[in-house]
Amino acid sequence: MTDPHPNSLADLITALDKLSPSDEEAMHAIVEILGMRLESKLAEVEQSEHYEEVSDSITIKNEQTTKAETIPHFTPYETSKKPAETSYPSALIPLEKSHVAPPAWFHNPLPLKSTEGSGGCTTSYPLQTLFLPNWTRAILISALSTYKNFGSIEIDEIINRISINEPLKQIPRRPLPTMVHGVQVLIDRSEALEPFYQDQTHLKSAIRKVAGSDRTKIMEFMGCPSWGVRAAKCDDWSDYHPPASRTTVLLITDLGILHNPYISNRAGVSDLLRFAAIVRKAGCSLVAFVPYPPARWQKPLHDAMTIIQWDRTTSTSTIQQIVKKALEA
Amino acid sequence: MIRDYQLLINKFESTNPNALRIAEVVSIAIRVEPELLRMARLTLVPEANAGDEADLWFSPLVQTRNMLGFVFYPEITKILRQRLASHVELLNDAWYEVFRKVHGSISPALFVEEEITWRALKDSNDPEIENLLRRILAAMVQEQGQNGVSHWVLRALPNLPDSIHQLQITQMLDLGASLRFGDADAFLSIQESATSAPTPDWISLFVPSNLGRVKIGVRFINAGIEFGDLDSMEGAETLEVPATNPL
Repeated sequence: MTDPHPNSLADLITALDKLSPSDEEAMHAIVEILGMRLESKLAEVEQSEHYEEVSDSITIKNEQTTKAETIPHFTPYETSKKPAETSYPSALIPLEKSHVAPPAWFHNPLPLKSTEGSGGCTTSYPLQTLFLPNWTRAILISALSTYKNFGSIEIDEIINRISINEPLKQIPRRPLPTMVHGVQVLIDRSEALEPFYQDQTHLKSAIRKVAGSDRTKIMEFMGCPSWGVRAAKCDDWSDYHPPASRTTVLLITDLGILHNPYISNRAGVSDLLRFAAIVRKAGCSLVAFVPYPPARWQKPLHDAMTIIQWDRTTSTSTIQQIVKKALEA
Repeated sequence: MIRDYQLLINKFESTNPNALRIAEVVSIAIRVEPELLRMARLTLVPEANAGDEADLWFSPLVQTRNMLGFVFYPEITKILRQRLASHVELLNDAWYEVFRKVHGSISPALFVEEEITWRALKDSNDPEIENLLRRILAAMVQEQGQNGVSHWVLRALPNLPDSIHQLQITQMLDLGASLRFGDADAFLSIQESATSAPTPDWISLFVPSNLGRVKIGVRFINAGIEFGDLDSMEGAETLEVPATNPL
């Protein structure tokens, strides 16, 4: 920072305070070193016994700015120690207020206030969803559909049967995925899913688009659905009832994987197994989207439901595995 | 105390190395939202999974959290930033690939705070840091009515990297903001600072007009000029000065 006159009155006060000049000569020297000049009639005052004749004040003229300033010598502590110090008659002459030219950067303030379109404390950047956007639809169709044989006719199968002289009781057709039986979506809103609340909202919307709003029933739960469900935040909790047979039940949960003593509503494996049994008994298939990798899934739950890692690693091959498993079942 | 936090980080790293790497990348942030966390993981720590995000979210490194995001302990932030600064390429990628995209739309004040942090971690002598701080000072002085900028300055300064605190412009910012909140002792911190350079003459530009004034006595004595309590100084003239501490 360049400054044509770096020494201010404050510097002079500091210098005089720290150096405490014992005589006028020393004080003059300090003032001059700082680029100022002392105009004083001190000598006259000292020589004269008639102090009242001295009416001029003491001023310091800054040689570079030629602005006159009163000499400060701030010694408040000494004052209290020397109450009997002789004071000389003097008068304070108010000076013109100095006008410091603002530096160039002063005219270029940073625009710090949020403007329209900027989101204040929160970002407006879209969340990168856990499932790859291009794959989400395919993953949902594969995971939530049941498979029925109403596709194209299986010519090879017909030829095989005829060749072994087996009667055709019904025309074999290729299996096709269908969501005609609907989907019951159960969203875990416990604290453990806090980092994924927005993902849940995105997914909920995507499921409605894929399965159709009229065939999608969405409910919330905390930890385990059998502890109670509700359709919306304003609703009361009620007992869980499985949907009609063949409906796919989708759990969006962490399956109680997060171990944190400060997190409440953590479901245990036995709770989830009991819930899976209720769903199975009703003739429904149970699928779970879990944000944790397979290495962290509890083994007993593998056989009780179809678990799909809710992350970018779920891809084409995962979908093929899901379809294969569904057809085998 | 820092040592304890270092141990905490080491322990967390031993069980969640990927989550800690994500923590380093997002440590520039004032607050870590799900959007930032996700972008950091997918872009710069692709080996991590969504579970690592959750592990970091609920980790002991986090001071406060809610569904909108979380904040690290300040001491943890300091260590994480040091670790990030030791990987220059990652540091720059974090800024250009993550922060500029995800936080480009947040409050300009928060964004500039993160930019200053990034610059300080990259090169503490970056002249742009001082330039940004000066322009913040200008914004504070020219702010009309509310003290939003001053409030932000007082909140933000302690969280900036240590190298920023050595700058005179930072001290001036602190002083200006403190005076706007009626902290008459603000000058003490400037005076006590060993690194303090001579007070710039433009200091008068940002001293608030509503700063109180006090009357002191001044008189001409044999040894020079004496300032002090008006009532206890015989023959003193009255001088009105800004009510700072020290005067």
